[in-house]
Amino acid sequence: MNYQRIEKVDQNFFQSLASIYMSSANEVILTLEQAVQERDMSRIQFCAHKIKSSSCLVGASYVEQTARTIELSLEKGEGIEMGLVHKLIYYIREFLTELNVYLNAK
Amino acid sequence: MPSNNITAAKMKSMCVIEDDTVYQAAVEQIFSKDYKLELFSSVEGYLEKSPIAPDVLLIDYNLPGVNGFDLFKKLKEKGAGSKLILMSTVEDGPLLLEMINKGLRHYVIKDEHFMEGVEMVVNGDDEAYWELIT
Repeated sequence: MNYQRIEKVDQNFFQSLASIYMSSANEVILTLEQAVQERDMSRIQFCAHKIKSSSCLVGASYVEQTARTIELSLEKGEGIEMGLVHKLIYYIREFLTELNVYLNAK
Repeated sequence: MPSNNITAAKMKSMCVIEDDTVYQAAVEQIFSKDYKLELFSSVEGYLEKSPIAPDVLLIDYNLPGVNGFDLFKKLKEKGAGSKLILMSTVEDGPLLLEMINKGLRHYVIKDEHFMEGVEMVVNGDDEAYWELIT
């Protein structure tokens, strides 16, 4: 993970941004899980867009890249494998765990 | 020494229309010391309040309901006095060209350079920003 860009600005700010990100990402996970069950592509696209955008800011590059792939495919009207959405959920969870460990160590 | 009221009166104003709480927090962190800042999560919310044209209006492209570019076009037509800045993750070349053709002059990409980039563009250093990201 590369947090240096934001941490340079302010450590307290980074912690507050990380906590907002965590809460938003947890909501995205719940919505994605529901959307996968319901095969609701527009919600999947919305979630992918949302998490892609905020992940850039906190340095979650795997999350961002996977979300970008999903969003672009759905924008073009191409189908996506549900496995890719599961992969996105996995990456978000993994990043949140990593972020928690990092913040607790500070 | 000037009173707080005088300082507040001299402060520039900025409205931000952004529905993503992470970006709202980022923008607040960067600009709240130097700007009288108002945050909105939709175009409709902004228009409903109809504030006097702020010095800077920072608009996200992808918003629920009316998108940021539609508001931009509307404000351009009306000749709003604000400095209009659009921010987005959009990587669609033709769309960006269309936005430039419609008068867009200040644009910030929501990527890993956002924190530095938005500050540069708000402060009028667009050229340095484009050097940073290209």
